[in-house]
Amino acid sequence: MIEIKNAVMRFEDSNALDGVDIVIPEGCAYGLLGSNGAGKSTLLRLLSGIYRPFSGEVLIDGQPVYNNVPIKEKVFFINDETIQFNDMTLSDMRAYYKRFYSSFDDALFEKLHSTIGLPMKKRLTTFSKGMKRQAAVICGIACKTPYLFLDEAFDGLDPTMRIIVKQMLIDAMLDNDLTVIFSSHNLNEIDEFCDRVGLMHAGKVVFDRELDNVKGSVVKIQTAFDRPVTREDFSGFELLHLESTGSVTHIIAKGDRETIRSSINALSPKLYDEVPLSLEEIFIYEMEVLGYDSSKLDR
Amino acid sequence: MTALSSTGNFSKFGTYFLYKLRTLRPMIILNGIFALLSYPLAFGILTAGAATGKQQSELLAKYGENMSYSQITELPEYVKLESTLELLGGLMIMAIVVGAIMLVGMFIMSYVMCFRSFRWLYKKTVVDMDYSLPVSDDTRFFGGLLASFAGSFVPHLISIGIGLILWNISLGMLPDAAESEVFVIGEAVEQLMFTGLFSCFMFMAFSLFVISFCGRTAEAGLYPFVITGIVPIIHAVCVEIVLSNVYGYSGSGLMSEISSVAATSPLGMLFVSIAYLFQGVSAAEEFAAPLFRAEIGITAIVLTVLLFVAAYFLIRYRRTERVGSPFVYKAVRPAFPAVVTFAVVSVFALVILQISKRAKEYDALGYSYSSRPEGFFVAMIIITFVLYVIMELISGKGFKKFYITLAKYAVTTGASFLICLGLFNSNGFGMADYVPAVENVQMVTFAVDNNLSGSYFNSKVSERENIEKIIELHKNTPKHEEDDISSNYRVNITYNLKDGTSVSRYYKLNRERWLEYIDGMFTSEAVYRDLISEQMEKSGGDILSVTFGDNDEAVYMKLPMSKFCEAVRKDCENIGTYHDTYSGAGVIRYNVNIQYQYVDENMIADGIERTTYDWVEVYSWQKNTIALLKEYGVKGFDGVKLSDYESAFLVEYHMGESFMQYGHADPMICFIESGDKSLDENTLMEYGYFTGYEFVAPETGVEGSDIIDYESMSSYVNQDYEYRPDTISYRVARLDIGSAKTEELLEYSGVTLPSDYVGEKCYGLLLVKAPDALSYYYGLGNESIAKELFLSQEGFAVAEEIFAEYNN
Repeated sequence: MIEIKNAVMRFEDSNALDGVDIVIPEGCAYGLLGSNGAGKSTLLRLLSGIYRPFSGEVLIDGQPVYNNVPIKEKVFFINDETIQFNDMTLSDMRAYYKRFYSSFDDALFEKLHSTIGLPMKKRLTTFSKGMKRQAAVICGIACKTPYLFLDEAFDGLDPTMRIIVKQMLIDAMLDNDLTVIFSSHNLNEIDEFCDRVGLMHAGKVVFDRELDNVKGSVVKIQTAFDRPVTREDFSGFELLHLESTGSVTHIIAKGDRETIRSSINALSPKLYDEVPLSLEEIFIYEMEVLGYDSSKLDR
Repeated sequence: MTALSSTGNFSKFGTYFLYKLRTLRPMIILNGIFALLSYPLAFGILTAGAATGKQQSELLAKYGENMSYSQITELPEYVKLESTLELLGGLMIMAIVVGAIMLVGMFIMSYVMCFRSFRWLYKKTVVDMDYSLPVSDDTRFFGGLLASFAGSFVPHLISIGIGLILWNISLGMLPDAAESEVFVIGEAVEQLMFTGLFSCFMFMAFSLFVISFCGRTAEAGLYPFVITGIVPIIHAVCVEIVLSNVYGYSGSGLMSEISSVAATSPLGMLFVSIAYLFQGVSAAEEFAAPLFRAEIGITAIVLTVLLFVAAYFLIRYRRTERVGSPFVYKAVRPAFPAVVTFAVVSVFALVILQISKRAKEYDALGYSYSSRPEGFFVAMIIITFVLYVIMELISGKGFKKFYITLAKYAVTTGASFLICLGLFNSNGFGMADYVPAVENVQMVTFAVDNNLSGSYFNSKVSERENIEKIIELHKNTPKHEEDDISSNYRVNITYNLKDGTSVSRYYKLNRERWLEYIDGMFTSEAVYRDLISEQMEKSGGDILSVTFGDNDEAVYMKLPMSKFCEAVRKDCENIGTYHDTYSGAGVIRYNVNIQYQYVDENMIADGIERTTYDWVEVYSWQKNTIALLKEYGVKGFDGVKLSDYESAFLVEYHMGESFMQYGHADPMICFIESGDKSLDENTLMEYGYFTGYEFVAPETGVEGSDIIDYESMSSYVNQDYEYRPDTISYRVARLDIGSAKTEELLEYSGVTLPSDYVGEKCYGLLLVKAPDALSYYYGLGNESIAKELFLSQEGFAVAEEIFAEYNN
């Protein structure tokens, strides 16, 4: 289990992480969402033992990660850059990780490699970004660590390869009870893959919940009233977004569905229709509430 | 469990070390090439030379009985060997040059290994890669360090091993190797090998220490070299700044003063080692590289270890997230530009402060001085500013607030200059007041002189009682310069300490204090040592000839040196005061050139008997010595009477010009020739040039002042000094031997001189036997008995009358 307790990380004069609290159970596929600079990569580096927290605790299986070799042997981190492998061949990478991870599984590596078919003896500098990422992922899975952290894991992968890699990860999770943390801006992937998500903004965790719970708690409603409505008309739930186009009003609301429904019905709408929300829409509306609003571009 | 854990850690360490070593593979191969082309190449050629030399010796032995040496050297096989030797000689020079370049290569590679092994200190992507591995901080540090050591030093050690094997093979082939010059060179190179290795080791410590502060590749690539280069500069310049203003410090040579840079920087270690190597080899002396000198070697080793330890802790506690930003430790961000700025400022400060000091001295002496420090100051400001801006750019400054950069620069430069000023005025941190404790002193060399009178007294004392006396006098000597800056009385004390070091001091004193020294140290033994050098006394041979003055005719004899020394010693038992002895009334000094046998210990093997010459001063009070020399046929001691002189000249000592030229005051004696009117200006000039005296003959129409003006101006021009005619002081008058005024003057001369002697009003009475100046110049008939007498205050009054009369 991963426990992050009030973790603080500071860069120069600003806090990259400002009192982060997250608990991730074993075997979970955790999606880390957030705006640019929210602190996702920093959090993953803390979890990988690359960074030492300024304050708070970062625990894996109840022990701090930083400079803790037995714990770090349980963790594999694939960062968002791949140029560090440029001087290596895939064969070198395999040997490199095999030296440091006693759990490295050659057979698994062969199996994964046969799926993607990357050249073993060519330097990675000749690889595309997507190929390098595939190489890193198969090494990471072959290390068979209980925890795998991927920063922008699918960045650069073509759609087919995304499916293949995703399947590899699912297989690894099923076979090894692997706990995976993704950070990604591609919300569809997280939507498809993760069972729990955390949303970060400005170094803080906005929410950390089961994906179904996240989706169930935010609802989009198309409605129409016989008079103009304002935010003040809606109470009893958290109004994330209100937009009127002609006579139709779009509402994004957060809270218990029954409460939302009864509150709106109290205003005698001429039309009431609930529309399912994608994770991306939830992300956008949640961020809008925090002032991270794309409509600012219009101003 | 613990054992398992230890094994696991060790396994991880080995894994990490081997991984790092693999990343260094191309560099190790390059370093190996450097190593093989260094010492092994040079010693390989030396061995080939030794083998060829051995073949030549065998050839000589083989044909030696039946053929002469010249016949053997014409044999084709000998000629072939000779040709091989010539070729090897040429190759040896090539090997030395190549070896030096390779050593520099290995030196740089020690940095490169470290730079490469510790990429995670300054490269963000490698931080992720290395820190995410399941290895501890210690494994990462020591694994990387060991890989750097292995990559850098294993090839180096192998090359040293090969070099030593080849050297020993060469020694086996060289007959009498231990006594040959090659042996000295080999020994020196042997030491240099280890010094070179240690320099690389030290450079790695410096590099790692500096890199541990760096957050970016540009910094890690640049600053280790900058700091390594700058540390010896700062060290040497600061030492010079401090020493240049320590009152009384008489210097021990630049190399000796700055040799301590070997202890504080790898470049200093290399530089000083090579300088000492050349010095040792060229003098064929025993060589001790700085690393093998306790005071330097221990400091350098301790510093190196401390740098590694400091680097370990700096790396352990650095924040990995700061990699990619300028300098991971924010506190040192201004430090690196400050160090570079300080280095440049210190160099300029040394020049500026020395010019200012010289100007102050000249001002006190009444001379003008044309060099001014303002130009250097402006240059310092411009150069440091440009450098500072460049360093700010390297550190990623965008200069949005340029005034902050300007303020930082101003503070850094100002503080640097103030530190230099502080060092300059530190009086050597107690060095100026330092007087060694008597129990630490082995021997003292003590010399006093007064350039005005030409008096000089030199002695070496090793008796505790006399050492205590000197130390007491030294302690009571004022340790500031201002009062006596223009004094011509000087004392030079050198303490040879029991630990092998020495302390030298040089002071200008007022007359009273100078006399305290003289009176305190004026002993029979000191006078004896002043008259007879230790080398002469210990020569053990005979005096073979004595030449009186400049006479060409030597008196040949076989006078045992011991007998001569005994006579001198007996005379010294009855000495009076210093002035009674050296320049009292009626004291005549004879210069006697003595040829004597001696034993040269360095050349004892060739069996050739050697002789040498030395000038010995004999004074008129040395009755026993004179009697002994007379007994052996030396004439001339009785011939010096006033009536022997052709002319007597009353001169005023002129000082100042020679001070400007030579840095110390030598008396410039002007005298006038009465009889010869044929001397033209050129002859006079030539005379002056060769004798070191200014010669003036008013009767020829050449004004003495013209000549002095001319000479002075040319001196000023050469020395870049401003010419000021009013600094010239010159008067001359002629006396007739036997005249009443002359007799009166002579009566005054030397009688009360020591007690009321006033330097500024000193006249010299120069008696010359030579019929004319030209004769004097060529040494014809003058017998070097020109005698200088000094006048008391009463004498000055008479002298003034003579001047007045003469000028009228």
